[in-house]
Amino acid sequence: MPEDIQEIGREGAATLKRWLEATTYMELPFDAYNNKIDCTVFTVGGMKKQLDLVGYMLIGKKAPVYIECKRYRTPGGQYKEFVKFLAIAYGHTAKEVEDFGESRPSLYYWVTFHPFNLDNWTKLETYDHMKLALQTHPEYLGGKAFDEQMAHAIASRVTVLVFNPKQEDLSLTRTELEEIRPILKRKAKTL
Amino acid sequence: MSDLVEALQAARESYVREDYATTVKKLFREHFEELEPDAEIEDTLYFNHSAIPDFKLTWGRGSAGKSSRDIFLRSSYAAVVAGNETTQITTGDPVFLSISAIQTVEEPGFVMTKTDVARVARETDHVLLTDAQAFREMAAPVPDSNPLSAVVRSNFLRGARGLVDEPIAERLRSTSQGPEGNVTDLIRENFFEDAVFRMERTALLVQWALSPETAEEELPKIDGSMSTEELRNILPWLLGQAVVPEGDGFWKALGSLFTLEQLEELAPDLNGHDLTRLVQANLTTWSAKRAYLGLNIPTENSYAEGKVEPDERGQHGSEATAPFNAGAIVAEDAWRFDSGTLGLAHGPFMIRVSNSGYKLKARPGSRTPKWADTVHRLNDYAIRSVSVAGIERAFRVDARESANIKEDINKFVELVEDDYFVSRLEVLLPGLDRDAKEKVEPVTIDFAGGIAIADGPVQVGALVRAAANIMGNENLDDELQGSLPPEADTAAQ
Repeated sequence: MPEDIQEIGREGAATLKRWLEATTYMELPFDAYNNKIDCTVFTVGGMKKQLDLVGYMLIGKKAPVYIECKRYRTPGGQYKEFVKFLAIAYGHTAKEVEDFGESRPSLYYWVTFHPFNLDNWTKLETYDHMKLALQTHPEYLGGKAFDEQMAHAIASRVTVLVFNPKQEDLSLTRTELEEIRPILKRKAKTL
Repeated sequence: MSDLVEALQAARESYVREDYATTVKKLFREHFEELEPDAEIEDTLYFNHSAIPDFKLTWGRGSAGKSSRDIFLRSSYAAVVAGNETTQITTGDPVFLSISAIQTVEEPGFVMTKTDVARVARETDHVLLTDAQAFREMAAPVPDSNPLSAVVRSNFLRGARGLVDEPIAERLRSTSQGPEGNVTDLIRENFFEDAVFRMERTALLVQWALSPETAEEELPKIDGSMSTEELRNILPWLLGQAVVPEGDGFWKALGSLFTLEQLEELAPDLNGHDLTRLVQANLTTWSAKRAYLGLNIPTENSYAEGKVEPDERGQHGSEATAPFNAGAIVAEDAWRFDSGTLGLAHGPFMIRVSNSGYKLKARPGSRTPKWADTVHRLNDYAIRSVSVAGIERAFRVDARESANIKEDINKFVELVEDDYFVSRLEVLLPGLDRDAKEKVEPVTIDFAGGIAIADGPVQVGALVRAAANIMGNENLDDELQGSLPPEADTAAQ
């Protein structure tokens, strides 16, 4: 049983995968239940974290996509976990820079069935919150100083989504997706 | 070809993310290509997407026999069950192909048993749920040349449904090797109706070939059209059976299931086989657009060894100038594949037929026959147009209302003295009897090129007979019994 993912479950992960892929903008072939290694991100400071869904965008630079899913009926302890998620996002990009001297423009999604911390709701994706996250979890700085420029960039690539199961009824159906596939040409041969 | 399951494991151990996806898709593609050589395989470039298949396989040409299936690669049976995918994806006769063969999961919030997997596979009629191990079992090469085992194999991706895991795959492959020649309940349960129909047809042909006397009354049950792959499974085996019935009925029933083009695709498999009984029975069933009159020079195995390129095959350039040399002649009159084209060896001649201008081309040459030597060969044919050329004059007569233009030319030839050669001749030959309508097709006889070229499909027998008669002055009526052009007698009067 993979850690951290009990909340979402196989069915929940499959539902969110279907919903997000139906946007036509991303492909999420890896989930924590079937592709443990592919869903693990490594951070500075020698830590790792397993996420629920991993894939890549099908537009632009085909940026990697990392998704943490939460299937809560209440806000629960989500805010605390979200702050840690921000720190992990920073630690992950910092690890790429440490290893390769550069990083890919990874996208970090927090997808939940229930909203949380409405007081801070509009600030969750901001630089200030990223800074706060690293103050709370300084271990994800990897012993280095907080990089403001990198924090700005990562914060701009964090997205919080709230999923309502009824949204599936508003998504393109499987048949419609198959019909528009040749028109959209999301898949270039370059990937 | 690598072992699919082992290669998938190796890919899992050594690749992550994009590399893994690319490797897995490449592996499956290679294995699909091997199992389904006649299918068109489209790689959508998606991998494990919830709505868009990884591959789309399409069989058959034209609108009539076309069918396709969407292949969804999945990590596990659990992914299919948890995503409720067999009810989410119902169009495209989907195949869910799990990389892992594990069917039981027990974890907090999710329990899956073998019964769940079987139930999910049966939720809709046109879904196949299978895994890489079962795929390996089903795609394994046929141990002997048993056509039934081969037909189960070749119908797997196209026509299987429900759950086919490794134990079921093993049973499917072994039941089909029984000598009884009957399609079992297990096969009926695990394949679409049309696939079962194809398998039963193969079973019937096998039964027939093995004991013709018991199957005579089943003759009318054989109909429809065969795919080239089905034909490849059964035809070489049938031709190798000593007990296949002598009469025309069997071979005619068999020949009505496919076309000459399909037979040509099997040329390498049929090298060395005497096809006389099969072709004789289908001289009016099959059509061709080209007939080439060349010399009967043995070129055994040149095609099988791949030494003859298609371009060279059709040319036969040397035959234009080669003298008729009895020493190089295969005496036996027989239909067989020679250098990739179907031909009738007849004395010094080899009359080849094809639908393909690529396979049969005119030979380079400029010799045309004298009108006086040719005219008597045309008695049986309806002539549409003749061009004759002398040293001082040339003229052409086209048939409008009257078909009797042979006499007209004779009159001209007598009127103005010259040496007249036939530069161009167009006759009408029977086409295929579709909709029970008699159809004739114009066929141009190119004497210099040694080839007869039709605009539309012409009955093979009529085309061969005309090519041999008109270009070679050979009478093949005995060899081509039953294929005389029906209208020739009246039209030529």
